[in-house]
Parts: sequence; C-alpha cells; structure tokens
Amino acid sequence: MPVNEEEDRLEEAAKAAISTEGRQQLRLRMEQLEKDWQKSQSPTRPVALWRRPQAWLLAAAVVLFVILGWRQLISLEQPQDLFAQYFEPYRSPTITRGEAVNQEDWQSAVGAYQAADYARAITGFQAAKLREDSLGYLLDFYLANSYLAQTPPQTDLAIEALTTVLNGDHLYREQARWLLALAHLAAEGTIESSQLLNQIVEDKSYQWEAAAELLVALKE
Amino acid sequence: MLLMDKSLAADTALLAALMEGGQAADAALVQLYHQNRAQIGQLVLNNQGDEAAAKDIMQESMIALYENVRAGRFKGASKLSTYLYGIARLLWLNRLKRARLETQKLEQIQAEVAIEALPNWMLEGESKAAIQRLLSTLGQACQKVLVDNIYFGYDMRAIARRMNFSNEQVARNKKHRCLKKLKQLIQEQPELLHELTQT
Repeated sequence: MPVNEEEDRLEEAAKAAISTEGRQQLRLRMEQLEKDWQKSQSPTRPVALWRRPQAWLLAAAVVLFVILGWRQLISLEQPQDLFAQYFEPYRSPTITRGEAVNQEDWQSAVGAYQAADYARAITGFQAAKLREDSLGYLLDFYLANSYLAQTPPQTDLAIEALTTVLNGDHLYREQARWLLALAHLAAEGTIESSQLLNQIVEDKSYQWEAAAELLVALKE
Repeated sequence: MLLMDKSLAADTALLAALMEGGQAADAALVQLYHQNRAQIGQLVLNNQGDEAAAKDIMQESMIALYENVRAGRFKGASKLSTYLYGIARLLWLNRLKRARLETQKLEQIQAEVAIEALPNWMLEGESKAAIQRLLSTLGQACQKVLVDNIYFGYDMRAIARRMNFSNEQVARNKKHRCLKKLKQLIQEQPELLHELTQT
C-alpha cells in the first residue's frame, strides 16, 4: 500500500477511535442536560439574581478568566511547558504481587492509578511501601508517576523516589531516568534534565527519540 | 414574516455555533436540547415508548445531529429542530423494528426531512473495549487533548486554558505527539485498524 494511502487510513482510524471516546463523553453531557431539563419542568419561584449561585459563579469565572488571560499574555515557553507536553503517567502495573506483599493496599493503589485518581494512588502506594521489604522500587516508581501527575506536579518527592529507583539494580531504571529528566524539567532544573537527556540519547535507551527532541527544544 | 426571519436567524446562529465547536457548540446543544426535548419525548411516548426510551432517543438523536452537522452531512435544507425530529423518528422506528413491535402508526407520521445517513456508532462489545484499552494506553492527558480538539472542536487556545498549559503551542505540540502515538498503537493492531476504517 502506498505510504500516503496507509497514512490516510491510520488518520481515519485514529479519528474513529477518538470519536468513540468523544461520543461517550457527549452522552454524559446529554445526561446533564436531561437533568437540567427535568428540573426546568417543575415550577419554581423566581429568585433574585444576586441570590442565585450561578450569578456568583459567573462573577468568579470572569475574575478567573481575566487573571488567566493576563498570565497567558506574560508567559513564554517554560521548561514546565515541555514537561506538560512530554509527560504521561507510565502504564498501569499488570503484574500480580507475591504473597509477601500487602495485597489490599497494592490493589487499591493500582485501582486508583488506573482510574487516574493519583492522590488516592499515592496514599495506597505509600501504605504498601510502609509494609514492603522487597520490590520497593516498583512502589517508588509508581509513586513518582503519581506525584508527577498531580497538579501542580510534586517534583521534589518525585525526584527523590526516581533517584532511588535509578540507583538500584533492577527493572524500570531506564524508565526512571526518563521520568527523572522530566521531573527536573518540571522543577526548572534544565541543567540536570539536559544531562540525563544526553545520557538517554547516547544509550539509545527508553524514549531516546523524545529525549533528542527535548534537547533541541531546550536549546532553542 | 418577521417571526420567520427571526427563527431562521436563530437557526443559522445555532448551526454556526455547532460548526464552530467548543464552548459555542456546547451552548447550542443546551439550547437545542431544551427546545426539543418535550416534542421528541412525546413522539416516543405516543408510539409505545416509555420515559426511559424517550430520554434515550433524544440523546442519541442529539449526538447524531451533532456529528452530522460537524461532518458536513447536514446541508441546512431544513430547520435544525425538524432535522432532529427526523433523526428521532428514524431511530425510534429502527428500534421498534428490531424489537418486532408495531410500526405502522409511526410510519404514518410523514417525515418532513430525509435523513441522509446516521453516524455509525455500532462499535460495541470487544471492539469498543479494544478502543478503550488503546486510548487508556495513551494516557488521560493525551485522550483529553485529542477528544477536545478533534471531536468537540475546541481550539488550541481553549485546550491550553482547560489543561493549564501556559500557551497554545504547548497544546499543539502535545496533540501532535499524542496523535502520532495513537497511530503507532493502531498500526500495531491490524484487526482494530480494519474495524475502525470499516465504520
């Protein structure tokens, strides 16, 4: 199949996949509209504008919009922007933990991680870590991912956890190095980040192509 | 005459908002839902349906209208409310037929508008689950950027604001990377690629 045709086919497939997800979200929006419509069907007494919560919400939204608009105007491309572009939480763990591990904490943390509830995932992984004597690196790795997925990212904690993983002799070292480079970016540590990114590119290890892109972006 | 002009202008504005996407489309959907829910509910209730079915048909019709407008399949030959009613009638008719229920009464209701095509959202079961797995591999932020931009039509500035990026270039770069990654993932699953391009 010619390259262009193949590319068009992939583009079409990607859009179809995105539409499947979009449709699901639109359906949820319709549920909200249905609730609003149902409410509007039951007669209510008119309420003065200033007593309506919507009026206060609108006022707050206007203030927020002005503040955000101003921030947007004065901000330039920052290392944090690059972090936002490149960071994605690592895929959820699929392995079953051994009997020595506290299954309950682990499963609850993994469940929260899968649901993108990173605050709850942190609590779960921390609890599992307290009782853990082996495979602690795995907990540190997913803790770091969860710290970075927070808004704003908890970079200090993530850097500490990832450094532990990186200094160990086990799986996830390459992934940890990539995430550590991103964590330093989020913390505006561009020198530390560049050093790690250079190592990744030299070793052609996990995410080396993205690391090369980032190095170019950091030099611009 | 003046009344008709006003109604036409309102319809044009709604159509433009839907085409624009993002917040404007959302506001148009709210208006369309409130304006048409009672009438479409009545269509289902008068033809062997219950309240749950009425709600369901209304929502599916709205989604079909949204997708047809955004895909350029609605050519503006009728009012949006007439078009929505036409979709609802067709969807409910299909559902009655599938359930082997009486359709004569509903078929007697003259369709004021021809519905060219309905979006194919029949991807169910394993295929739908496979797509969901695929998108979850992509990550939440990627999903959001792609769905907000491609399906809901939010522009990059709005996406940057919604996702706390400092400017629209960040959003643009993120979308580019995410789309590339999604295509790579699809390419690794030929069966899914086939399925997605058949719909």
